[in-house]
Amino acid sequence: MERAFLSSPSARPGPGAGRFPAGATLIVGSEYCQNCLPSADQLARLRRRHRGKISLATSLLTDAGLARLEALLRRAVKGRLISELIANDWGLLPFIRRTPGFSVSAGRLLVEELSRMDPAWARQLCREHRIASAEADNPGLARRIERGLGLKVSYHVPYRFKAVTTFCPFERHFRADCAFTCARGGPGRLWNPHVGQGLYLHEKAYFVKSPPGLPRRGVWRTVRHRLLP
Amino acid sequence: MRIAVGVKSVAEARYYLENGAAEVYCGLAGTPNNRLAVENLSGAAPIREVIALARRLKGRVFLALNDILPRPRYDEACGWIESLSRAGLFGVILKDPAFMAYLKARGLRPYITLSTLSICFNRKALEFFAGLGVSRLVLPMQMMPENAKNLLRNPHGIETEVFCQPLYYGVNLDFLCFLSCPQTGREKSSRAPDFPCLLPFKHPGGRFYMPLPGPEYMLGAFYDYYRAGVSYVKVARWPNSQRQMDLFWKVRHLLKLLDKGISRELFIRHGLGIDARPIQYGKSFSFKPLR
Repeated sequence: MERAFLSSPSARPGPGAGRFPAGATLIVGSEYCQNCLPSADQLARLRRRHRGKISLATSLLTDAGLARLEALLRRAVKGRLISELIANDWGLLPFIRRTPGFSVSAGRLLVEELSRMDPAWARQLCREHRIASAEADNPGLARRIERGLGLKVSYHVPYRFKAVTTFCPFERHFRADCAFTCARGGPGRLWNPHVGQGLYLHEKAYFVKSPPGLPRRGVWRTVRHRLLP
Repeated sequence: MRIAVGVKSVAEARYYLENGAAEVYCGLAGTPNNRLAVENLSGAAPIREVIALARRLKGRVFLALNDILPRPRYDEACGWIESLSRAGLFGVILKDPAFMAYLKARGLRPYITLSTLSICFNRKALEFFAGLGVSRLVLPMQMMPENAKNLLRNPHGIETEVFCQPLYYGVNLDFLCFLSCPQTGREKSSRAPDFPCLLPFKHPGGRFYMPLPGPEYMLGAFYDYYRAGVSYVKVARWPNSQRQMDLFWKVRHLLKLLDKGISRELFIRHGLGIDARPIQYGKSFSFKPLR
């Protein structure tokens, strides 16, 4: 089984590749915030330092976010800086379709819907866009990915996402540029007895801790999130 | 900007259409849509009644099928769309691109409103849905005018609809929020007094509320949408009809101000006076329909 680690490019001046085991896949970017993208220079530096695959995670995208991401992807593909793209927005599909040079995984936001759609249509869409795997953080979603879509499951531990916003909780705006204030860390464990689980704010999403263990079938990669407490 | 209102009964449809709504939409019992089952009309007869009523009052009626539809339900959903369209249904509110592709393949071309619950935040996503036959986009509740320019002026002729964000806003993206919500009323006392996203959370540094934009920003956003030529504002279905009516009249009041050509500054000042706690609209979960 492959191992991957989730880093964050917003931790300036760049992800510390040395902290991650050589050979493991390093996932940079974010599934939850379009602003948390590395620069092309950061990616190139990372590529030189990390002896493993590099995957770029992407989020829901506004037009400004999509334009910036496509510019980054063009440089990343040309320089062979990434080997995988994690996609969460329908708007990214045309770029994927016309640009070879990386594999594609459906992100947790996109596959949450895709995995509940007509399996024949969804499988065809995956084939047309080179989507060979999908990200999951709970057994139900993993099962739908594996059985319904026939994709490999990249399973995230030990946190599971519960909610996402496009309004930056740290800087309080909707803009496609920011000062990466989230990199200083969130408010810690958020507790309200009615919710019944501690929530953790990271980038623009709220997470809970997952029960230990992996789904029995279909998991080809585990992704460990190191940044939360 | 015209008003589209979600209704739970024929009486509600009459109330809103007689008081200035241009459109109403409803769900049908047993068919998938985003709201609670109890908020749907009970069958074909009441929907046909709403359609006949709307015809008399020169309004339009939409059927909400705004969820991912299981493949085995496709033919049934197509049947409803065909038969109700023959009766005068104006359009259908959808979210599922696979189902839209199926409609297209079958040669069915209803007027499709793309639900606010779809991942459509940029022009290329809109292009994707345009290819599936969408005629109108309800902008995601968290899409603001500063990011929506290309959606509002799109080359596909797709009309746009917004929520009145100063009065109705989701702290998190509602279609990607898996926090438990006490929307049925039955859960209100036992589990949570309000949406989890509005509750105070304890944390090591004190008290935390999930951040949301301020009322001035939201009023400004609604003003900008109006000025940008958005065609429709939506008043969503809600379990408690009194609450929904309250929202409807506030939206009408704001539109009246906008129709008069009020300045942005004055609009914001006035809007703040009307409703100092807009998000509190969602507080009542008790099911109290107008019958």
